[in-house]
Amino acid sequence: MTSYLLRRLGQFVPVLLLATVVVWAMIYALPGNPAQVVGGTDATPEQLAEISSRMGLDQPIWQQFLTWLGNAVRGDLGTSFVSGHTVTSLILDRLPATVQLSVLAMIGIIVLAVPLGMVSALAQGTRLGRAVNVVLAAGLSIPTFWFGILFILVFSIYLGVLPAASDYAPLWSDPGAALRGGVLPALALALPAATVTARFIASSMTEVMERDFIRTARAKGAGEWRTVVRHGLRNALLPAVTMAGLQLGHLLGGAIVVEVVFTYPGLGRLLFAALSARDYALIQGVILFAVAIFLVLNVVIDLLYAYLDPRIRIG
Amino acid sequence: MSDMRSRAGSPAPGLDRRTLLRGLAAAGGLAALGPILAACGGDDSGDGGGGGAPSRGGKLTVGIGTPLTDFDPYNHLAVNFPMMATLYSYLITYDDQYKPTPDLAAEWSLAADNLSATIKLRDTVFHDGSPVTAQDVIAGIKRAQDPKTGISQAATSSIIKEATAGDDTTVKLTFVKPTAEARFLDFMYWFPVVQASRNDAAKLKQEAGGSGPFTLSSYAPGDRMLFKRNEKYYAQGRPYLDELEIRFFDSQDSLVSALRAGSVGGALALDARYISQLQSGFNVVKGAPGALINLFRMNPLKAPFDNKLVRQAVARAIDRDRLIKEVQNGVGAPVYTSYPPNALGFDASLLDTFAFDLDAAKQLLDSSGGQKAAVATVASADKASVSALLIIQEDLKKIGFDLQLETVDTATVNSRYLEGSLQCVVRASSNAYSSPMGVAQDSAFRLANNVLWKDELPPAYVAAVAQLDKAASSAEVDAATKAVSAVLTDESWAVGMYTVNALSVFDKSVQGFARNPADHPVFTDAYLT
Repeated sequence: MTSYLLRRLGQFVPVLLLATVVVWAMIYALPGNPAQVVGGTDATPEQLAEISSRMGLDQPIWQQFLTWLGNAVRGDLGTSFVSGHTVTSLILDRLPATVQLSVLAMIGIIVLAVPLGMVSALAQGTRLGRAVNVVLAAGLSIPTFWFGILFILVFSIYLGVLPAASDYAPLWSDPGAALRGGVLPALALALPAATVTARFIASSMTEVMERDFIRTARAKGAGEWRTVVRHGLRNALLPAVTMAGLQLGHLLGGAIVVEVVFTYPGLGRLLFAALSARDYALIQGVILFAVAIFLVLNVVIDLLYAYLDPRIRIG
Repeated sequence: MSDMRSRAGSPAPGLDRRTLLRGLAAAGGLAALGPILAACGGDDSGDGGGGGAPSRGGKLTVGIGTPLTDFDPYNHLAVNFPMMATLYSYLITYDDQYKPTPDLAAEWSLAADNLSATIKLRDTVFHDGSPVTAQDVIAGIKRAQDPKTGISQAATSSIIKEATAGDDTTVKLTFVKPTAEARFLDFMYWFPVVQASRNDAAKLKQEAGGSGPFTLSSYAPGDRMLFKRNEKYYAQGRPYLDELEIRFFDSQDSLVSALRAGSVGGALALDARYISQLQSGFNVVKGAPGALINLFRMNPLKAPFDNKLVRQAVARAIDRDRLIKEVQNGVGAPVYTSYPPNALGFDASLLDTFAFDLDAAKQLLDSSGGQKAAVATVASADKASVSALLIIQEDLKKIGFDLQLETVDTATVNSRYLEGSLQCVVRASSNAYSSPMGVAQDSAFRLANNVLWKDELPPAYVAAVAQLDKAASSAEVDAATKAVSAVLTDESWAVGMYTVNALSVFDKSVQGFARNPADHPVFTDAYLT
């Protein structure tokens, strides 16, 4: 197990390095100049040169990259051109809000996806099964931002019960405020993701329920509920775990659209603002962080596989 | 939600029973979750509206559609406006007719020969308790005159040859040449008094150094900033608010939703297009006339706009009244040059002489012999400019000119505008100056580093601005202003369209908000009812 983990961690390095090169190349290909964002369009060339020099933008691109990389290896992701704060502190400031939103969204995904997937698989051909399939199709086709706008319209503007601009409050210190601020963006994130996961569960469940061991369980007199949940669902969850893991990685990397719609102070909005301002160091830092999250989650998913399916051995 | 005058829990303004029922139906089963969550937290103190004497206390949360870049008042970017008159005091303030009133300058006098001036400072302190002194003003002028760090202060401070201290609170200025009173006043109006020890762009990235009505309590970059009442503010009893929070939104639509839902008590710098949906349920404060003027800027070094007649044809084909009606929802005033209606250089007769006339425009275009096609570049997020360009495109088509629209992101438009690689663009200009020399601050009108003309500015314009620069008496200023206006009209490289008048919109419970002629929000007299 230890050697497996070390091997996987070793694979992180080239992937992260490749990601930094690609992101660096992409952001420098973008038109626009961060010095101009800070100095405004009425700044003179002298003033822009002064700002560029302060930002280190007067160096050749390759030199800027190597300087950044050297600092990043030592744990210094640089300084935001716009705010002047360190990238690490900006990410760490926003991280708790994103983690909390991701957890709330994951709870929503699981709570919605498992029953919907099970019903879709077990009630095939019935009215209920068809109704669930319509819901799943709708959830897949409606974009996240649309759910967000709809929720704001109904819950914030018409009913006035939840804020249109979400505040972040830690769940452990103020659960009420945390839920008030987080429930709408979490639901907007969870609904489309839950329908995808439910489809995975439904497809897997349909296949599993036709397997020999299910028939054997029934023949041995196991109750239907026990057969479905204990024997069927547990085996059917395996592919859904991969999907849920990837979704969690996506959420932790920052849910840009939903965070922007709800003005939620997470990593997604941080990245959005950084892109708008061409804040190169911040863009690079946030994306690098998101890539690292994905890599770590992939390892966690592999470990979960082994737990859920004893036939899989790690090492 | 707990920290503002929120209406959470009650229907939004203008909501009738049918709409409410539709909303309930749409909410379906999920609606049941709302009240439970609403009960979980929040201590919304939704006081009702009402008039009466200003009350002290409370916290106001307002939103704005763009995040701040720094706390440097020398960096006069629109995104930094919310903190300008909140954290800093200036030497004087203006009303909309540019009548000066004291701020940190308690008294001032201009010598009879217009070659020097004296400013007596108010006896007050910065936020950290240290006294405001003449040395702070002198250090500020020194920074303003450094071409690398002066940023927006460089132009207005250029009239000063030397600044010395008479005593701790007296500043003596010597001017480069006889200077018109309006230019001296403009210097004082635009000059923020920053604590000398903090007056540095790098330091002002994260901290402020002013003596304004509020102190900075906390700042979360890109998300919000919190101000507290400056208990040492020179105006006794003010400001009225205990706390002021400014939240940054990523779009004006999100901000308007939050305002309508009661998540914020006010919204700053909204486009005029929102006025129809907000004016009945909220207090609306319109922006200052000279703070933003939309100009149709043509690149005179690129075809087809290297042909003066083509530029003049386009100028005559801009239907300002229609633009104000359809793009601005009736808010704003037409302008022909970049002098707004409240400025000394404004000439209303130009709007009649060069009125919208497609026949005249076609005649000019035909006689130009120039190309009849161009590309206008516009930021997709700038919906008002996109709408304006679509109307202009339609009118230009009628005279046989094909204007294509290219939509890109804001950073790209700005970058390409500065490079001088665009053919034409709609961009706002600020001209909140008492002196007509204010026009020469804009990147398209300044003599040095002109973005559109580079080093090829029309000699007549250079001469007219030089004359204005020298003018000290009212008669000289008047004559030189007319000359500048005549060149701007003839050369037509940046044609005035209308004043933009951004909106500040507040819940009815918020009173006393003001904005100054530069459109900086002023919360000194704001209070909650």
